[in-house]
Amino acid sequence: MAKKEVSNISGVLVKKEKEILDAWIKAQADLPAFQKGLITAKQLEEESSRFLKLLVKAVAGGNLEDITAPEYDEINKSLADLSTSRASIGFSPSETTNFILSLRQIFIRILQKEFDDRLDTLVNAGLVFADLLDKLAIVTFEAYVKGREEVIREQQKSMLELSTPVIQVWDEILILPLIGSVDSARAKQIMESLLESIVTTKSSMVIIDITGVPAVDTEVASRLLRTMQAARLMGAESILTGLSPQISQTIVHLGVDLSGFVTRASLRDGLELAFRKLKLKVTKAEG
Amino acid sequence: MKEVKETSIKSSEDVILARQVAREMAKKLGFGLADQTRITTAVSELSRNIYLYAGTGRVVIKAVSGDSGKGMEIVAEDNGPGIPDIEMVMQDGYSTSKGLGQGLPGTKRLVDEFEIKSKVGAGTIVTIKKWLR
Ligand SMILES: Nc1ncnc2c1ncn2[C@@H]1O[C@H](COP(=O)(O)OP(=O)(O)O)[C@@H](O)[C@H]1O
Ligand SMILES: [Mg+2]
Repeated sequence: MAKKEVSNISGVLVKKEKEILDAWIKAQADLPAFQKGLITAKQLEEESSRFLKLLVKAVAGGNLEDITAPEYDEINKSLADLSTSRASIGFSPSETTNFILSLRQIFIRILQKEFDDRLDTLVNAGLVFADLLDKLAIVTFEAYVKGREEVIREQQKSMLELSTPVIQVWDEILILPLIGSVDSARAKQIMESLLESIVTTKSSMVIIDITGVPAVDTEVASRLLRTMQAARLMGAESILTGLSPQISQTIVHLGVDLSGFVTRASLRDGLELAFRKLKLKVTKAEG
Repeated sequence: MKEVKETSIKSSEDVILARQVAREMAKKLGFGLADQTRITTAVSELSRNIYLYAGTGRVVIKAVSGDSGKGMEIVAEDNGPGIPDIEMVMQDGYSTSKGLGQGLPGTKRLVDEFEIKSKVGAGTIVTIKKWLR
């Protein structure tokens, strides 16, 4: 494309920055993302104005095609940050890319006014600019996806870090209700706090409830086995409760041998067994 | 159905992620609770092996159809150290990491089709399939 037309586009962008900004903010305010109140009007204005300034700066040298060139570094980075933060506050992918795509119409309208007597220039400029915005929209989208993955990772981390309380339900009876994934680091900490509690509470029965554990693979099974073995060495018998039929079956298929340990389907059954072993009886009060 | 989900395995959290992806897909394809659990557990074993023994790799989960109807295929792939003796690692109880050594033989029992290819110094690919019935 002719150099002159490219400089035309950058020229229009610079000259009409304020007009474009106002129209763009107005268009975005009508979009569902804003209507839902995910960001404030002030944020919208600031973010739009910052982006447009960076865009004007990036195209100033006449490059409207190669967004990997150094003059686009700043805008790429700022877009990526914006998408990541929008992903984390609940913007959908389309709401996030609309930030860029909503600019297209506005700019085309401005170009129409500028070049209404020169159709060729208008069409060319429109195509070049639409192309540029598409590229930037892709940057936005990619950053959005990364941002979502980040959110998922964080959520999982907090799941992993859920504290696991050891509860003393009765003299000599401890309950360890496991919830979430009992993988690696967390499993080790759980095991340590359980063994500690056995000593401090002088308990002889430990109920480990895995109702809230979504998957028991050989690693989790081996952690459970080791924990129960260690408890036994310290004089406490373990009862493993909350094994769903599906999980029991899967454990058997895996070839993990739980036969040395007592298991019960529900926490209730486990507690009843513990009471019985300690020769305790729960009865209804008379009267 | 064209459904492919790829999870790259780089940390122990990715093992959880791969597992969740597998469960979601199994549910969506109409697998019952028992099979969902089997598939999830198999994916857990394979992705954990990647993390433990190869460091990094990927798990590709997809819906497939074949002579046996519809089903799910999982490919766990890494460019790690590879396995020198496949027969050995397919035996119950063999582990180089003080694990239970039941991950691979156990996974084989949980699924309908199991294939393992490995080359020392190049990596390992395990492909498993589970059919809807
Ligand atoms: N992806 C892999 N790359 C290299 N070696 C592997 C891989 N997967 C499994 N292995 C080897 O096979 C052995 C058995 O694996 P597995 O049956 O899962 O038991 P475990 O993980 O408990 O050792 C491992 O100890 C390891 O030496
Ligand atoms: Mg293993």
